[in-house]
Amino acid sequence: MFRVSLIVGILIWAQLSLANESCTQKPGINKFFQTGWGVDLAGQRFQADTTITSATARELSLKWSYGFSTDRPRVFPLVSEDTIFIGDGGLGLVALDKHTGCTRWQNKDIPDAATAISHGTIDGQAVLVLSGRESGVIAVDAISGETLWQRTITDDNPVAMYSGSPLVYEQQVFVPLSSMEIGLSVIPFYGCCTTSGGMAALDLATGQTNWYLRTIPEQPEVTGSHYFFVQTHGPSGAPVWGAPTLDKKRRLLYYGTGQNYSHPATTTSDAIFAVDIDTGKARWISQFTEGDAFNMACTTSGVNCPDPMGPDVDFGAPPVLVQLNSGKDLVLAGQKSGDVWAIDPDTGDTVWHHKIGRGGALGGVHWGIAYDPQHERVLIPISDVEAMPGEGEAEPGMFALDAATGERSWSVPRVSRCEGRQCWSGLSSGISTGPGIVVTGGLDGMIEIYATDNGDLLWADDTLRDYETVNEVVAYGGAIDAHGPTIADNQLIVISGYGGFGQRPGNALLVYEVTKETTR
Amino acid sequence: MSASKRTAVEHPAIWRRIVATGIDFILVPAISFVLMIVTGLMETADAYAGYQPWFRGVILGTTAYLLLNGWLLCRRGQTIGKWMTRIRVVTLNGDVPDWWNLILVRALFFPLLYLPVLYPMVGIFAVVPFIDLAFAISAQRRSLHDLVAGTRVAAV
Repeated sequence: MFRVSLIVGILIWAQLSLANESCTQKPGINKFFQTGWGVDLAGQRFQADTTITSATARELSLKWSYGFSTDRPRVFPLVSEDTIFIGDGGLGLVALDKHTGCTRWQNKDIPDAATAISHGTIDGQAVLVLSGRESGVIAVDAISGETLWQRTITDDNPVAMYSGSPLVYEQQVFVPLSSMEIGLSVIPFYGCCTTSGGMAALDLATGQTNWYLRTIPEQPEVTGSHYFFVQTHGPSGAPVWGAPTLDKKRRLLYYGTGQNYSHPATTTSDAIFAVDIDTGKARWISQFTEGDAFNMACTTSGVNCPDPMGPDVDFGAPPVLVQLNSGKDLVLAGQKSGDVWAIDPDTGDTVWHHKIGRGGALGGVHWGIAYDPQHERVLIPISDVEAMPGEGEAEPGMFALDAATGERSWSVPRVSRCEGRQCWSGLSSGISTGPGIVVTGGLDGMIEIYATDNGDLLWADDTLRDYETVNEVVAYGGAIDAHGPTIADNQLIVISGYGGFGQRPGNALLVYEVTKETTR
Repeated sequence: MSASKRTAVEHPAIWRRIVATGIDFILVPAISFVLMIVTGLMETADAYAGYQPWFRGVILGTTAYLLLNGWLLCRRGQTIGKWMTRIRVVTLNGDVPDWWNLILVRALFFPLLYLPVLYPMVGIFAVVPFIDLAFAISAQRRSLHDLVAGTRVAAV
């Protein structure tokens, strides 16, 4: 008996020692499974380097979970060979052991991490770059977690908001810029609005600005007044709150803009920009909805609501650059209106257009689309939440379009699940694709994997429950929204809970795995 | 008649002090609000960058407080609220305190009254004004800010 106890004790001790040792190890940086929002620079969100496929997806099981310190996590992980880097609410940026979830390091300089993480190299040193919603852009040493530089970009906009994920390429960081004025407009005595969205290119090594491009070239002027003293201004808005997409061949950056905050509306709102990454000059700008002026004052019948009020149909979903088997390149863009556009990357002209559902202020296409290169299909999640809905029937669900023609290949409507949850089951979050699969997260808390060839449901898990976590924070699932799930190696990483815009809050980081044995 | 003889025994009822404080508590933000509208100090994007909202809020609040109470305080040891409830601040000798003592010392406690309103941001510090008030239960009816400034409140 004593011998058995001794052996068991030694085994437990060895297990704990190994776990602790892995946590004290520095993160491996030899291989990153993605960069930024789009997994690749083209924003396809397609993960080729994974063992999760249409053949193995059914074997997924929960490996470990982690409790965020916020119930509205708005972040996206970056995965290396042994580490998951991710923002954690008030805690900052954390590096978690990929296999156990224990924390390797923590950087507290970015208490409001709100984006995906892109990576680059400075003098052979691996660097992580992400943004905090208000604290700005930060560059962090991937191994030590030490801050290399941190800055806000307020030369043009004193209330810049860093909602969109930055992207690192060569020695530049491209930073999308939105504005707090979208919310400040609710204050009746605020003179709405003067700021413009923008894109900044920073030097990766120093954080200094290489170029900066406003989305609205014109400077705002006084357009009137209310309450006797409060002056109103315009034009304003056209924020960039989605990540940029990079075209290495053309050396162009593609990104979408949102609506104007005040009149006069401009020709650059609800548009796709193509910008030279070396000069910051726009090659082309294609607008897809004219006259769209909206701000949050409109949700409270506030005095700052533009008249006429627009439909608020941003391009929040980053554009996707694809090359078809025919050799033709396309930029694919989904809009909150439910419109999907295929654009010629050389001219900005529309190649095809397909409308899905009714759209609305929270999508339509809200956070992001993805691409399946094997079948040449663009995968479109549709939210169609009842928020300033457009005309027509709601079609919350998953849609696959032929990338060459825009014709619908298959679609799967989402089933309403009302028990203990909000009934609306639309797909608002970004999605991800892998070999033969597309992974979606629902506002109802369901994570699902469909086959990209025919839309068959391969696997699903209900995340609307409590979780025991590796960091001993009480965690519970909620709506899956914002950046959505991602695939890397043999893992599926899901963030469940998003207490924004009336959705169900939650704070669960869930790491599912297919076992190595399964994949052989 | 000397000031000390005039005020030696007149402790105003506590309700008069509370009403006076309540009047000031409402009037100062109200005047700040009017100032905000007229000056446009919180009207532009600059006003909401970094610590600017706090900085400008302090400027508006201080200006409103002085506009409302500055003259009365310096001349008679009264705020608008105290004037309406017929009480005033005096030294322990019953004199009108020095203006700098009233404005640069005693009045600094006034913004603390708003801490309970800011409870989600200040947490436990929300109890500070109640602690200040608790000191007034003593026989001398001197709250913490009176003790710090070397003053007391007397009936007019």
